[in-house]
This record gives sequence, C-alpha cells and structure tokens, in this order.
Amino acid sequence: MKRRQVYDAWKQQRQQADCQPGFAEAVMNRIREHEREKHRTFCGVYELMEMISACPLAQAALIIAGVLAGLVRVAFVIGMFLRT
Amino acid sequence: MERYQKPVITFVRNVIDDSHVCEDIAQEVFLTAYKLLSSFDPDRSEFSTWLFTIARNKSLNALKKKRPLSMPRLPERTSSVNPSDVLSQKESFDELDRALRELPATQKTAFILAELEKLSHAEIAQIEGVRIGTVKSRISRAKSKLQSALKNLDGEIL
Repeated sequence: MKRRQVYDAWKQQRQQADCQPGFAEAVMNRIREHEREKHRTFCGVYELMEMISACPLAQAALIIAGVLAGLVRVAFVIGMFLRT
Repeated sequence: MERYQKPVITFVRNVIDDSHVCEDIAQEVFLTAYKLLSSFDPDRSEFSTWLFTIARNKSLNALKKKRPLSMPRLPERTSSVNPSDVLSQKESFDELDRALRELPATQKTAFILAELEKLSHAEIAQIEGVRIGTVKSRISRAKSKLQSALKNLDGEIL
C-alpha cells in the first residue's frame, strides 16, 4: 500500500468519534448541578445578610470586626513605613 | 450542543489518547463554555473557535496531569483487501498512533485541528494564540514526523 493511502485511512479512522448516547444528558445534568450549587451559595449569602440585618448584636459585631480589620491594616502599613 | 459534541469529543480523544477520561474532559469543556458564555464575544471569534480553545486548554491540562495509560478504542475498519494487507495496515496505524502520541503538545493540537477537524490555519492560530506562520510550521513538522513513522511505505503525505 502507498503511504498516502495508509495515512488517509488512518486519518479517517481517527475522525470517527463514538459518542455515548447519554453524553448530552450528562452535560445537562452537570449544568443543572452547577446552577443548583450557585443558587445554594447565593441563598447562603442572602440568609446571612438577612440574619445580620434582623439582629442588632450581629450588626454591632460586624461593625466592630470591620473597625478592627481597618486598625490592623493601618498598623501594618505604619509598621512597613517604619521598617523602611 | 449536539452540533459540537462530536468534533469536541474527537478532538479531546485524539489529544489525550485516553478513552477513560476523554468523555469527562469533553463534558467539562461544555460546562466551562456554559459558565463562561457571558465572556464570549462573537465579534472576536466564531463560537466553534472559542469552544475549541476551551477544549484545547482542558485537553492540554489533562495531558500534563496524567500521562496516557491506554489507547482510545477506535472503531475497527472493515476492509475487502487480503489479510496480509490488513495486518500491514494495522501495523502502520499503530506506528502512526505512536508517532502522534509522541508529538510535542503544540504540534499535536495544531495537527489535529488542521488534519482531523479541518479548521483553517487562521482559526488554529486564534485557538493556539500564535501567528499563522507558526501554525503552518507546527503542522509541517508534525506531518514530517508522521511520515517518518511510515518509512517502509512509498510516497509522500505532505
């Protein structure tokens, strides 16, 4: 056999994909699972925000945490300047 | 999806050469495309080019993580030629499979996109993120390596 014939036959064999019948359904299932996961994450964040807005103690804790984080950040920057 | 599933599966299977994981990777390609759909810009590229870019990146990542352990199950060709021809053809196919497996990743993806997926050099350049000249050179080097795998036969494939 000629090289070209073998090469063309090999390419033709390589071009044949045997797709599983449930492939599209499997992809759709993964997409649905991804959407559910996204929804769960969003709901979790939403529930946390609702809880904070309903409870004055949680609001105060959040403000204190924010102030502390800000102070730590300022101290860190001042420390960096003093070292240099 | 049905329009693109065959070309994507064929591409992934040819690049990663592992029948066990190729379908998972192909599923990931479509899932990633779904997640990134908002970033697709039809003015910048065709949808198929964009999808093949995702498929290429996923396949190369899978190739880096896991070296091939098994050959893909390719459909047997039925032939009316005599048994010795079939045997020699099988040996030649094995040689070509081995040569394809041993190609550097960039040459392999360029070759598969051009010769098996029949994409234009411009499309491949966009997928690979290189110039058309580089694509041509990669394909040409890949072909010459495959040609040398068929050294016992006459003729040219280039």
